[in-house]
Amino acid sequence: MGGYGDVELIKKDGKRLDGRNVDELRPVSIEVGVLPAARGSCRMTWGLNIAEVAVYGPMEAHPRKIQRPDRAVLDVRYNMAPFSTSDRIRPGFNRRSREISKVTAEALESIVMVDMFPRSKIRVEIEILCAEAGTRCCGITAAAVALADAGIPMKDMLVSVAAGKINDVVVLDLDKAEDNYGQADLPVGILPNSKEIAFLQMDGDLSPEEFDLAMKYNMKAVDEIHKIQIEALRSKYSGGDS
Amino acid sequence: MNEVYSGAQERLVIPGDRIENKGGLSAGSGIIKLNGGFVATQLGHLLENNGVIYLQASNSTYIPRSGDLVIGFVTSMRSNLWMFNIGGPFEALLPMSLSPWNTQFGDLEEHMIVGDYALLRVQEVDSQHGVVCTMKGIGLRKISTGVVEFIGSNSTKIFIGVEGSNLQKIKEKSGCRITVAENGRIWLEGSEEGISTVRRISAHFSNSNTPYPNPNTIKNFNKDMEGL
Repeated sequence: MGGYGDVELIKKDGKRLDGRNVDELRPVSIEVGVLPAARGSCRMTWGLNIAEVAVYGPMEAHPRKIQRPDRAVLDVRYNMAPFSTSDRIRPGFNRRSREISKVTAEALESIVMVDMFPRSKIRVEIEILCAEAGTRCCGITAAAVALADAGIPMKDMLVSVAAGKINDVVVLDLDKAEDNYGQADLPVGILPNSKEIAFLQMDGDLSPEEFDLAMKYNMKAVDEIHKIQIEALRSKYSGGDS
Repeated sequence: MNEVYSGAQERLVIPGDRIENKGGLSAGSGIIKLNGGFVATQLGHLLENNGVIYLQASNSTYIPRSGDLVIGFVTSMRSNLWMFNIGGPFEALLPMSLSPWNTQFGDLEEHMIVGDYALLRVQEVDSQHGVVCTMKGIGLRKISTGVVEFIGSNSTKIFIGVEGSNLQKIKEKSGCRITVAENGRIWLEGSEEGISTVRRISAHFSNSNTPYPNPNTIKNFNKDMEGL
């Protein structure tokens, strides 16, 4: 959140700079099984964001000190490619990627049936190839699809989406300008069938009413994205005739 | 069609999908009870057999079970045991006491070294997924001839067919000895031409882009089987 409240982000006709309504998502598409070497994989395009996720395992957890006798460990690595933004990103892990990896692992642990694979590790690699805004939501949503593709037992899918506030108006799915110059951002991870919240973060300030409206937008978007997840998986596994 | 796809109400389900249970069925593999209803936990086809509703996962890792016939290769050795990769999450142990040879402590390399393949049977799987294999039993041996191919543990039932019909046909046409292991590896012994024939058919499953038996794979496989 840049906190530049005077930047005009909503036009006079009530639409956003990219022509979207306040409760409209950017175009979303998912392709499953894009990486042959991985057990499960997916490529997700969300606006200008492109994320590729690979899932490996379950496999023996190394080093042994990370093994848990009663459950599997989710080893999630979120990384932004150096060429993913206009300013080159220094390769390797940084504070932000560590935080997002941790948040993602904890969110995914709420859906993956980790108790079925004691002492093992499930590796989830999230690579952001192109970043606009909302890469953590894109990565988490794609990771859920890749895990399903890998045949990892899960009690539900997981969809992550963010709403926020720009020019004192609550909007869904912030783009880069809105993210930089907006007033608040509320990314959430929601289990689409049970509507349980797997993670919730908030940057900036929202009043209780604005928070409720942001959550309403998020819940509506979760259903839309869940349908796209299902279609992507069905088209892969039903031989194209979903 | 083989038995995997002959169940009633067959449909593709996604993790989290609710499954109706009007007929008082019980939950089998891949299905959990959640809030009084059934929920699918994996991506796969829903099948029903003898009052049990279960899920045939489209893509899942091989989980060893006691009694499984597996093909593994040696990854490392200790003084008194071999460690095998059997395609599961964990390596399997073959203690020298369960090998068919009268092996002396520290002399394991006389019989098998790293990279050697063997036909084994899973003797025991403990609660921590520790796997112990045996080579004592009919047909269990070190593999020193032929080739080992991978088709995936989800594809073995389709490859074998109803009561072994597909496998029998492939054996007759190729003239090869074929051993299908439950971890999705197959051992082929025979002429070069025969092995090529089997490889052409198994490639439907072993092709790394389509390692799961989706309808297109099965259709192409069945087409090839008709052409044999």
